[in-house]
Amino acid sequence: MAPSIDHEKRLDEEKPLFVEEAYFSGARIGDAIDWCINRQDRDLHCLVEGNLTSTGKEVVFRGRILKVKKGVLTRRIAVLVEEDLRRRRVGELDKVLTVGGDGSTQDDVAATQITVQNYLKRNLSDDLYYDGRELQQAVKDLERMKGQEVACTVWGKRASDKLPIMIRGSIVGASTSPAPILPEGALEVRVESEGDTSAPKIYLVAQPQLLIGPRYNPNLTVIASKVYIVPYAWKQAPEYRDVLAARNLTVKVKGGKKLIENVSFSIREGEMLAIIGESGAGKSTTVKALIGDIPSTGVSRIAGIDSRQTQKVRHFFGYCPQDLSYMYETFTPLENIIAFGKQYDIPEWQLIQHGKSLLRDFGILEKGNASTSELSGGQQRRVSIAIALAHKPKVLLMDEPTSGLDPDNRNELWRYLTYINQEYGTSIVVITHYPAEAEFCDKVAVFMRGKSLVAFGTPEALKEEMPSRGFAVGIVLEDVNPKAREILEGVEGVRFVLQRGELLKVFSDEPLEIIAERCVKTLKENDIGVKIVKTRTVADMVDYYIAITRGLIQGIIEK
Amino acid sequence: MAEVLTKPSRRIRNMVAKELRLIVKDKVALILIFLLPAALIGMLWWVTDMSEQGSLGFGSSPGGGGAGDNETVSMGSSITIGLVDLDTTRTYSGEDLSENFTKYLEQSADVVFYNSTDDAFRDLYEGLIEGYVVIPDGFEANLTINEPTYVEVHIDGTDFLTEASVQGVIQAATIMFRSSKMWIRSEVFPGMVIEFAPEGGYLESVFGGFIVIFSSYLGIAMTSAQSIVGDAPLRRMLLTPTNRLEVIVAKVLGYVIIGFFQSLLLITLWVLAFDLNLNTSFLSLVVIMSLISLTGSTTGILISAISSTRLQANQMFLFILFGTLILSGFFIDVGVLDEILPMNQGLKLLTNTAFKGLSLIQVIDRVLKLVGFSVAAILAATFIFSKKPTLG
Repeated sequence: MAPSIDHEKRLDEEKPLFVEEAYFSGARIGDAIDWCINRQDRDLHCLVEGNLTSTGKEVVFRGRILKVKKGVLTRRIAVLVEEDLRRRRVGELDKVLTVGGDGSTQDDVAATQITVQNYLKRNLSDDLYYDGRELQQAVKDLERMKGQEVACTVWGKRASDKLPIMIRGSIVGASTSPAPILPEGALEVRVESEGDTSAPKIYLVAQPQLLIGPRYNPNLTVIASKVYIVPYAWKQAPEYRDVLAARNLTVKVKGGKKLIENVSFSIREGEMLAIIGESGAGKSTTVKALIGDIPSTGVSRIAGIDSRQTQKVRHFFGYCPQDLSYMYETFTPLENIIAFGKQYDIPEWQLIQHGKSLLRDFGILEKGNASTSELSGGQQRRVSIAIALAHKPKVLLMDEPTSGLDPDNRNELWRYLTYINQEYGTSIVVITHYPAEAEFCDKVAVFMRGKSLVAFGTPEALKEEMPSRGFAVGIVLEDVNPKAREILEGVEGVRFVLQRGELLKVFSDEPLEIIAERCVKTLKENDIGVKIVKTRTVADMVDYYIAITRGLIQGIIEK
Repeated sequence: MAEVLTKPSRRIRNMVAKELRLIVKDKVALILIFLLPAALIGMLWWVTDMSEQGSLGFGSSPGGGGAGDNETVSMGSSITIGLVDLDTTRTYSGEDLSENFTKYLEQSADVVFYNSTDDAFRDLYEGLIEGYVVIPDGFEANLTINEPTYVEVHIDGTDFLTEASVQGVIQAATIMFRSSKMWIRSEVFPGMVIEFAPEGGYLESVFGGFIVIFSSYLGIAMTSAQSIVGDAPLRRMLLTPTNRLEVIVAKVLGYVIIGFFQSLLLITLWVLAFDLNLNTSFLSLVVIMSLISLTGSTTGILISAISSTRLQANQMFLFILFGTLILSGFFIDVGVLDEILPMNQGLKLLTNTAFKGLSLIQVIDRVLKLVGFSVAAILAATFIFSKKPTLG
């Protein structure tokens, strides 16, 4: 069994969640709002300190910014609370809080200090927030999502007794009606009773400027102050730690032969994983088992959902096959995106919007009207990736995307993959035959035929497991000499030698300077000309892969 | 939180739209789909124009129907023929000539005697007899004065197979009758009256009907036989929330729509080109052609689900093509299979409605058979398809 290593430094090594940060006092909330407006397509988060206007108690919380509003009188930030950071917690905080400036009385929180953070990725959240007075706009937006299962949380006051109320349910109706000043919007929300004690009730959510009085049962009418809408309620994933996780994953064929055995690894959200290994080592089998395409034993989860729940888990991953014929070649790239994306129950207008933005990001928007067959191999590959990303998956799985591409196109593709990873925050799993490509990823999984997973970890951690923590003596010969490797392996203290053309890397546990001297001496004795000697050459993933597949080193599996 | 609530109907609708869009995008395929019916009917028109049988009308001139001349060898088979003897003349001193003719007829077939032509016609309609002979008044009188005479032979125009046998039996009986009465100098002509056929040419309607059904059924079966095995992106589609039953249903519906328009064009050209006046409503024709497209489509999808490669699908389709052709009941009697095979049901549906004038309710058993076959084929295709791995 390969030894496991403890990564205490793991938290420190993790990528920062945000790329820029700004600090504002409560009095400067207008500037904070401007800062957010300038970065409105980004995933913005904030840390708010202030006082709850209802109780006057201090509050500290972290959350994602849903909406900012800067009017003549109002300056407001709506925040979806992710973490309550109060030392003394008195009562639960609302899931959505409105933050106003210092001394604000109209909002939930009067902020004394706001830290806004721009996360690296683009804001891909589908959830929507409306003030109670904006229900008319909510109705308009909901009309575009007709037929979808839309979840809704409303905070407001009951029309009968004006007491605060919060309801959570699914939207069953949305309408606008004429009113003395402006048309008013109203939502009908079906709320399941808690504990199934009574039948579900339908509440009418009305705008606060309702002057005529409720036309509905006042007990079931909510005068809204905050409305939080989640359009694709069914697509919500449970809470999860690792976006992709495999535990003791084993796949057997009918004859009882195990294709993979006890494969365990996991990646966090936003990480990139390269799966490398020999042909027939079980790389594709692992991916097929992970997406629930073939029967397996053990645990395999994507976004916290068991892969055996095939219908549900498919919303959370995108698969990009190796074969480019897996898309309709007579269709244009956008038509392909729509054809596949619609099967996820995403409205066409949204697919067009998202598809165009993907094609623009991939530099093929101008080819939008050409049929896919008219595009070059590299462009077709990008279309294939765009199709896999149409439904905004959490994980993108790719089967040998760079095979058949020239080195230039290969590098370009990796540039796009890195961009996807950063811009969309999508975790990426890439099966590849090229160990060098593993350097682009955060994690690497190495598979060997008959042994399944033999190594898993960050490229740096894996390379550190080589002798001298991945450093070697680098020797460049004057000419390629096949005997050189054998000769150097006979030198005292040398563990193994890897040769690539004229370059030889000599690995040893002893001081590299001494080994270098011994090697040069031995080569001279054998009349082999040496051009360059470097006492500290860094091993790359190709060296690691060769060493592990030849059994020269033992793999580690990072927990 | 709510479980996955996406509607299968929406996914099926999207997939059908995608299938149709693929066809629309493929201009050559689109032209072929509509060119094929025109070419078929054009060919039939040309062939019948060349053929002497092409102008053969119904219930017209006696002496036609030469197709059955060589069929007398099948006289041993149990053919039931009705006989209506209207001859009242008694001019010959010997035996009654019409009764004597009847006896010769009885040697070759089972003869059922009728007093009126209406009863015989009804039994022919219900399939109790394969044809009936009417001996006209004056049969004996004409023969005794050496004037030519004739017998009316009424046959079922929708039953291509027995037509020839009936004609053979009548021919045989006439020859034997004639040779036993060598003193008669004139001839006895069997006059053909083809019943249950629309107004128009004989070959055009009977053979044209066969062509319409045959090409509608197999045309769409051939197209859909490639629909799964030849659709590589489908594998990727199966990694979306779409399940295999939805794929099969969507494919079937897509091809039914294409097949429906194709077969409707075919039948329209058939009717217009030969100026036929079918004995059924346009709505019935639409229903029948939809059913034929449905069965054709499901047959093709089943082939596609079973086969793993395009070559397998092609070979399997050829097997089905020849099997369907041979067992269509149009050329040879296929016994009980005639009541089972889907194309035979389609053919019978068309002849029973468009030729005989029956309503769809009266032929509901055949409609149900076609629907049942389609459902069974869809389920079988889904079951087989579900056993195949998505990504190979």
